[in-house]
Amino acid sequence: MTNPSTVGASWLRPPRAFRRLTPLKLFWLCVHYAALLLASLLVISPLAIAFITSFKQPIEMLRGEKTDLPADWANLANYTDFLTEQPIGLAFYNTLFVLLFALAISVLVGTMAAWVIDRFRFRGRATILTLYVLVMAVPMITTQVSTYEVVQFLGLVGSKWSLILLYGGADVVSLYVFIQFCQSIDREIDESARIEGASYWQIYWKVILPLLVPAISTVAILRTIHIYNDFVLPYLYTPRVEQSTVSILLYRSSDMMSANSEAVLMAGIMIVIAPSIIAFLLLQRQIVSGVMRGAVKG
Amino acid sequence: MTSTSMNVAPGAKAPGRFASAAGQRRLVIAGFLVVPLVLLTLFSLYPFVQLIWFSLIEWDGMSPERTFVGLDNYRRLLGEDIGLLKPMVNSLYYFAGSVLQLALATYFAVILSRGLPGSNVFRLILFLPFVLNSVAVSIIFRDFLQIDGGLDAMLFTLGLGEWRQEWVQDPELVKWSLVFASVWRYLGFQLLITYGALQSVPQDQYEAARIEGASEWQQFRHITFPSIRMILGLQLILATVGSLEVFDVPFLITGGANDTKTFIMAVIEEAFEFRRVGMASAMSVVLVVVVMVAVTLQRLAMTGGKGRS
Repeated sequence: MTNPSTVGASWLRPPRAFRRLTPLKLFWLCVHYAALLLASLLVISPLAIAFITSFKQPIEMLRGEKTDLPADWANLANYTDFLTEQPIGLAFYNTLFVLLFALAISVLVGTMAAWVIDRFRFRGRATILTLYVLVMAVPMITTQVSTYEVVQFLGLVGSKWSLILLYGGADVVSLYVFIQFCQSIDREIDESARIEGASYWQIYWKVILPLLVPAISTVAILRTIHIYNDFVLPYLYTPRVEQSTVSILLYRSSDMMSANSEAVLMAGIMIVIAPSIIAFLLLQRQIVSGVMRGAVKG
Repeated sequence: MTSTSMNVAPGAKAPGRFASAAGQRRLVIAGFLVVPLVLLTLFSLYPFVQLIWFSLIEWDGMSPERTFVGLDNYRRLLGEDIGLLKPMVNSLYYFAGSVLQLALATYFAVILSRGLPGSNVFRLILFLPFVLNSVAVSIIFRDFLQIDGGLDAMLFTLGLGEWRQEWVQDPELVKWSLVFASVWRYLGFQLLITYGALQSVPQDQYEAARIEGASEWQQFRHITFPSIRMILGLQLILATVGSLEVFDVPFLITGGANDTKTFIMAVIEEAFEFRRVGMASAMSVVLVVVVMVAVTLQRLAMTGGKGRS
């Protein structure tokens, strides 16, 4: 794939790694595959055991080994139990609500600021850039004791709006991705639009924003992964399930449930991670390239 | 596309107050920056300044009564309350883990970038944990590592029953179990970043090296490593910061029992459970200083070593 010489009719030939095999190379190839298989086994097995546990009946939980396959794969009692006992619909609604508003803030605020900072030279620009660099250097989690007081002052502790503002507003890495991307957009595009009589707002909205779509999708992917999976902020700011995300729902239910409802809890976990796994498999290309781009640039 | 959407006749708009180019320019700069700057101030800058102020007072977080105590919190932190800093030692385990993780991620990235059959599948599998909810993952691990949990059952099934351990009960082993959970989660992420960096290494260099009979290790040593040195250095810095900030996975798996408390856990406990906001803030400031010193030292080591910044 990366080697041009393998393109074309040569697909019949064995892959590059298999060509001109000497015994020594074969040995190393086996070592590499063994390492990859072992690592994959270690990655998959906790998930696989959680998955099979979610189908087990109470009697199997007591007697059998964890690795035993469930007696009845069609046993969905644990799933229905979790769905009826826990307000999972509400938790998904809250998570989606937080996610969409936070992403909207991240993208709008981030692209506007990035475009202005990259394109205009104005008084205070250097100061603003310095402030952003300073903020980048101080990890967000270290200042939560103090941020909590700000959120409390705004009257937002316990409300999902605290999460929206913190995820969307205190997101400096995205701004960096946008600035980097703005720099790669030719300035002449702005200028020719300007000559044609477009206002600055029109340039931003109709010219720059569409060109930033790759950066926006990178940011959206990275932020979605983070927001959907984060525990710290919901734990601090929205400890009650009514206003909180799926993370808190799982945290609360793992606290509440007794040991013999472990299978029910595993069913709940499967319900929460299923959307991530499905999205990951459907969007793997975009997610992989988004993470590589965002991480290298940010 | 631009020509159709942009065809606004110059004189079409009524000449308002901001019709002049300079006025419009000023308006767009101010208008586009006001919200980002308010958010930056409210949730990042002001909390940081306030944190320093909080570290100089004694306060329970609720009552209007705040006593200014100067550097007393810091003095106690380095004196009789030194125990509060002890969880920072646990970061060393995570740091060791992240160095190992970086080495593994680089190894896997290098062999996967050679186009082994099935490399896409392996890459996906190893990256999968990164996209999963951290509470879900932690509960799965809590079950996996308990006595007679999934890991023990697996070892038994594989005929390695002798290897079964008290993964989270043994006071020394539990730290490595937690490190393992963390490596499990982030290995694929680092792998992807390194893999991305490897894509930009020109292939003809390898071609030339192979013709000259360079071994795989020599190719890695002289072509691959120099080209991804910067990225690896950056990842090491991120790993250092990360190992000082570990919170959710150990919090959810052990709750800090068995001497597995991390520093962030200690800070949150101090602030929100014991309601000693002043002391918690002083601890946070110490953490920020440690992070900055560690990052600066590594930056210096990277640029001072050889080559460009």
